[in-house]
Amino acid sequence: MKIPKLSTVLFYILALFVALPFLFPLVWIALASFKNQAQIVAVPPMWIFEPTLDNYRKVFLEQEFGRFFLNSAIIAVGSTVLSLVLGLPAAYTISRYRQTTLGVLILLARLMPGISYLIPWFILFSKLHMVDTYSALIASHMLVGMPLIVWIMVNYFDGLPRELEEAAQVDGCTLQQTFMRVVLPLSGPGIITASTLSFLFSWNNFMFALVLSADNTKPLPIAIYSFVSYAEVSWGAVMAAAVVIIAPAIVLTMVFQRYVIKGLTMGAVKG
Amino acid sequence: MGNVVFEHVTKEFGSVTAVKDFSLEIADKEFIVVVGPSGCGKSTVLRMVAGLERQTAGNIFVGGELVNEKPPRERNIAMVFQNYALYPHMNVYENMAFALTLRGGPKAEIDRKVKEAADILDIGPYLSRKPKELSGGQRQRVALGRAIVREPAVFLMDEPLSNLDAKLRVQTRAEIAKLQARLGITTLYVTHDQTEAMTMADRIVVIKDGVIQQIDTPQTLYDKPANRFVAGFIGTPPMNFFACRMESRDGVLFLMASELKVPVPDEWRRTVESLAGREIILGVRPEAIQPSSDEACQLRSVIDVVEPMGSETYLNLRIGEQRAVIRVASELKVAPDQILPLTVDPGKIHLFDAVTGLVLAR
Repeated sequence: MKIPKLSTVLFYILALFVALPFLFPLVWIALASFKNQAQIVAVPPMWIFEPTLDNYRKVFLEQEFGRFFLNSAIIAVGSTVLSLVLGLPAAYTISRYRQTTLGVLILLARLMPGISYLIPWFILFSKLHMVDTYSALIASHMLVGMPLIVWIMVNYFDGLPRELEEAAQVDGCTLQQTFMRVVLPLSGPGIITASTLSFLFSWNNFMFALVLSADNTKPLPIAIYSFVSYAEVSWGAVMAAAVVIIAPAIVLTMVFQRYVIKGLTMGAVKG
Repeated sequence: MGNVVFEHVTKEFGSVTAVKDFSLEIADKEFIVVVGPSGCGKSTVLRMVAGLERQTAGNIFVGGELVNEKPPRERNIAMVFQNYALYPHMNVYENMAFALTLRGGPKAEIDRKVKEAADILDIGPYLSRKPKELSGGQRQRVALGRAIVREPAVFLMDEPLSNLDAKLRVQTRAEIAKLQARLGITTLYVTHDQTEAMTMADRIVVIKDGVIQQIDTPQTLYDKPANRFVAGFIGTPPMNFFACRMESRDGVLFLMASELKVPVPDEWRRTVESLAGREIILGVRPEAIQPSSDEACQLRSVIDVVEPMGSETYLNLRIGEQRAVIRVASELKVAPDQILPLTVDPGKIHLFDAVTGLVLAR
C-alpha cells in the first residue's frame, strides 16, 4: 500500500477540523430523526440504537409534509424561473449597455433589510386578496432571487468575449437572437450558479412566508415552525422535517458545487 | 455589386478622434488593405463598414446603398475577426451554417454551400468538431469559411493572420489572396503588417492617427511615397532618412548630410533650387545605397552590425554622425568596424520637407 504523504494527512486533519463544527449538527439531526423521543433526550447521547421510521411516518402522514414540500418547491422553482426570465435580459443590458443605474437600483432592493418590506407587502397583498397565494410568495421571493441572478450574471456576461456577439450580429442576428442563440448557450455555468443560489435562498426563506402564506401555500420552514409551537415538542418529528428540508439543498449543492464556485469567482480573476 | 464608398467619414470616441475625414472609393472585386501602426484607427474603419460602430459624421455606402442607419445584419457583409470569434458551443458545420440558417432557405441548399466552402478551405474532415478541438490555423480557416458561405457583397478582415505563427501566416496570406481573386468578392483587410499589405493588396490605404496618408498600389507606395511617414512605414528595412542641406560646387548641385554627398539629378534641379534655405530630409531606400568598388570614392562608412538574412545581408552603418541600414548581396564578405566605400543612386532618392514631412521631389 502506498503511504500517503505527511502533507496530505495534515490537510485532511485540518479539513476535518474546519468541517466538524458545520457537519456535527447535520449529523446529529440526521441521527435524531431516526430515534424515538427517549433516545433523543438521553444523556450521554446514544450513538448506537435501533433506527425507527416513526418520525418520518408522522411527518408525512400526520402532518402532510408532502404538501408543504410541494409548496416550497413550487415557490422556489417559480421564483427562480421568473427571476431568470426577467433577470437574464436585465443583466445582459446592464453588462453591455452600461446601465449602471439600473444595476444599482436592483442591488439596492436587495440591500434593504427584507423585513422592511413585510408590512407594506402584507397590506398590498391583502388589498389585492393575494395573501396565501403562490403568486404573492413567488413575487416576494424574487426580491432575493432576482438581484442575485442579475449580479452574478452581469459578472458572467462581462467575461464573455464581445467578438462573439459582434460575429452574430454580422451573421444576421437581431439583438434578441444574439442573446438567445449565442449569449445564453454560453452562459450555462453562470445560469446554473445563479439559479442554484436563488433556489436555495427561496427554499430556506422563512420571513416572507411567515407573513404571506397560510394553509394553502405553507412552505417547509413555516411548517417546521408550527411543530415547535405545539405544547409538547416532538423532537424526532422536528428532526425528520429538518432532514426533509435540508436534503434537497445538500443534493443540489453537491451536484452543482463545481459551477457555483466557478460562477461566484467569475470576473474576480480574468483568466 | 460590392463597391464600398466612404464620404468624409469621421469617428470620435468622446474627445478622441479615431478617424478623421476618411474618404475612399473601393471598386467592386477590389482587394484593399488598410495599414497603419496600432491605434491608428484602421480597425475602426472596418467596424464602421460592418455597422459595429456608428460614424460621427459622413456617409458609408455598400453596393451603392447608404448604410449609415442599417444594422450589421442588413449590410450584406461578412467579417473575419482577429481572434476568429467562432461560436464555441457549435461545431464547425454549425458555425459555418449559422448565418444561412438565420436567413432561412432549404436545408439541402445550406448543406451544399457549407460543404462547398469546406472543400475550398480543406476543412471537410473537421465539420463535426468543436472550435476548441482545432488548431489555430484550422480555426482561421473555419472563420474564413463562415464568411465565404454567406456569399456577401464585401469581406471585412480584421488582422486575421496575427494569431498565426510566422510560417502559417505566410502560407495563409497567399491563400487568402488567391481565394479573394477566385471568389471575386470586394475585400477590406486591416493589418499593421506592411508585408501583408504589400503582398495582398490591389491598393493600400496607409493611415496614421486616423488620417489617410496615401492610397496607392503597393509598388507606387514603395516607389513614390507621398510623405515621410509612408516612406518609413512601407519597406523592410525602412527607408534611411538624413537631414541635409543644399550646396552648389562648380555649378553642380549637391545634397549634403555630413559626409553623405549626393548630386541632384538634372530633372530636379529647378525644384531643388527653389527649396534653398528650407530644411530638407533626404530619403534613401536600403537598396539605393550600395558598396562602391571605387577606392577613391568620397563617401565612406563604418560597418556597425552585419545581419545576414540568407538571401541578402543587412548592414547597419555609420556615415559620419548619420546612421543607415543598407541591403547588400549575401556574397559580399564584410565584418564589423570595416570601412566600406559607398555610392548612392541619385535616381532613387526622395526629398521631404523637414517640417511637414511631405514629399518635395521624387
